[in-house]
Amino acid sequence: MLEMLGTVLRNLLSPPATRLYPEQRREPLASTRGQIESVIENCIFCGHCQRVCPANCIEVIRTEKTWSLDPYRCIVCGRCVEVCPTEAIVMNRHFRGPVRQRVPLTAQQDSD
Amino acid sequence: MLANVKEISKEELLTEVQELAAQHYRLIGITGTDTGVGFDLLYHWDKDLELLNLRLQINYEEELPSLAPLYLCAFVSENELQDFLGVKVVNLPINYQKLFLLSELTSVNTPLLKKAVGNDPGEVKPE
Amino acid sequence: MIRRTVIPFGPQHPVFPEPLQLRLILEEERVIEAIPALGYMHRGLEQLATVKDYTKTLFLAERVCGICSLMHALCYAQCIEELQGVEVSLRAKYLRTIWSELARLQSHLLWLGLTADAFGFESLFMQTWRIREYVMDAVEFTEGNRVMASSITIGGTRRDLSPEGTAYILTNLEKLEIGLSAIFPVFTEDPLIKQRTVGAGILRKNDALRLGAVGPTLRGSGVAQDMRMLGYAAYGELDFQPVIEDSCDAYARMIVRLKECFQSIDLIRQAIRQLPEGQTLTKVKGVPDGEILMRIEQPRGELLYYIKANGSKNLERWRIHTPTLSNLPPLLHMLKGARLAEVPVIALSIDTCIACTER
Repeated sequence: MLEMLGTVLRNLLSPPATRLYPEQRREPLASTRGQIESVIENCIFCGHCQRVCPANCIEVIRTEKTWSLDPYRCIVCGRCVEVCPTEAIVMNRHFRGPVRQRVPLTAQQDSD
Repeated sequence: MLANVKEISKEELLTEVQELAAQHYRLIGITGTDTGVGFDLLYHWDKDLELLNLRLQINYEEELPSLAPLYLCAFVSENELQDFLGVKVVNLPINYQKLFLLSELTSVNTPLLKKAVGNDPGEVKPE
Repeated sequence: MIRRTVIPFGPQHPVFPEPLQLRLILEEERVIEAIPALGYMHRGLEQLATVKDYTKTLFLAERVCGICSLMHALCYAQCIEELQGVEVSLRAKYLRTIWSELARLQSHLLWLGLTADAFGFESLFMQTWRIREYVMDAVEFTEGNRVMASSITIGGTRRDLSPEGTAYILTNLEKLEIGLSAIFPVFTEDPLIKQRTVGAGILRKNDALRLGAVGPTLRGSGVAQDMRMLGYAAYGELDFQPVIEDSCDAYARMIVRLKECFQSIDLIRQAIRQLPEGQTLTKVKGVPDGEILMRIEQPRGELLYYIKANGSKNLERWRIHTPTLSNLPPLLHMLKGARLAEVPVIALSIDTCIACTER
C-alpha cells in the first residue's frame, strides 16, 4: 500500500514523459538526413547524379539546362551529394512536410 | 570461392544426408540457381560454426527427393525452390503447390527461371 | 465426440508486428496442428537484384527489413568486399560493430515491448519503448537516420564517428542502463509474467538442432551458438561469450534477449575504448566475379547470404536465408499441444520478422 502511494505521488509530481507537441518541437540533430535541395548556379549538367541515383529519380537535361528531382521517389541516401563535382546539390536537415499534391522539384539555370 | 563444397549426384543425396544426420549436423537451407542448362542446388549445413555445402546439379525435368523424412525443416526451402524455380520435388509432406510465397495473382510464374515470361534482364525504368 | 475447430490466427493480429497466418486446428482448447501461410509481403527482391547495378542493390539490401536493416547492408557489403578482395580499415570495422550492437539493442527492446503488450501489460510496453528512444537518438546522431541509415557502403562506412558522437552514445547508454535495470526485475520476477511464459512452448535441445532453430530460440534451449564468434567485423577483438539459458521455454528466450541487451551495452563500451584512428573508406575498383557465402548474427538469429556474380554490372544470384525462415519449423513443433491462450506468447517468442522472410 505504501509503495503504491509512493508511485502515485512520484507520478503526480514529476513532469510528463512525452514532449508537449506542438508547443515544444524537436529540433533535428546535426547530421540528420532531411531533404535534397539544388543550388542550380553551380550546376554544370554533367549527369553524374542521374547515373548514381538508386531510385532513378533525378533527371538532367543538358540542352535545356534543367535539373529535376522527384522528392517522393527519393530515398535521401545522399549519393548525389557525394558525387557532385561542383556542390550543386546539398542536403538539409528538415523532413518533408505533408502535401496534397506531389510536385517534382525543378530548377532551371538562366542561360547568360 | 566457396570453401568446403562437396559435389554429389542425385542418387547419393539421401545416403549423404543420413550420414550428416547421424553426426548431428544442422540444416540451414537450400539455394537454387538457374544456370541455363539446369539447376545448381547448394545444401548448407552447420556444425559448431563450421559450414559444409553439398552441391548437386540437375536438369530442368528431373525430380528431386525431399529431405523431409530426416530433416522436416527442409520443407520451407523446398517449397521456395518449387515457387521460384519450378523444381519438381517429390515426397514433400507440406506442399503448398507453388503458392508458398507467390499468390495466384502474380503475373510471372517462376520468377527466377530465366526462360519464364517477362524475365529478360534490362535496366529497370521508372513508370 | 470431440470436435475440431479451425481458427485462422492472423494475418492481421494485434500481437504480430508483421503479417503471418497460422491456421490452428484445435480440439477443445488444445492445438493439434498449425499450418502457416506466408506470401503477404513478397516483393520479389531477389529477382530485382538481377536487373539492377550491384552498387544500387546495396540500398535494396537495406530495405529488406526495417528492424534489422543495418545487418543486411553489412552482410552484403562484406560479401562484395570479399569477392573483390578489398581490405576494410580497422576503424571502419569498429564503427560497423558499434552500429550493429546499437541495432541489436533497439531490436531487442522493440521485441520486449511487444511481448509485454502481448500479455496486456501496457505500461511495461510504454516504459520499454521509452528507454528505446535513447538508442534511437544515438543512432540518429551518429548515422543520420533512425531506420534505413545508409551508413555502410562497399569499402567501409560513409560517415565517421566524431568525439561528440562517442560522448553522445556513452551518455545515452548510461541513461539506458538505468532504465533497463529498473525493468529487468519486472520481466524476470513478476508472478503474472512467469505464469504466462514458464512452460510455454517447450523446445528441447535435440529438437532445436534437428529442426534448424537459430538465434535466441536456439540459445534458450541450451546450445551455445552465436555467429558473432566467427569474428567478422571487429568481433574477433572484443571479449564476450554467448548468452544461454537452459529451461527451453518462452521464459528462457525472454531472459536471453534481456541479458543480450546488457551484453550489447558492454560490447559498445569496449569497442569505443579500443577505437583506432584511421580512414573509414577504401576505394574499390572493378566488378565482382565468383561466388561467396557469408553468415552474420542478426538480432533474431543467423543470416546467410549467397552471392554469385559473373563479372557484369548485375549480380547473377542473390540469396538471403533469414532467421525467421529457419525458426518457422520449430514454431510449428512448439505449438502442438499448447492451449489457445498460449499461442500469441509462443508465436512471439521466436521474434518473427516476415519482411525478411519473404523479401
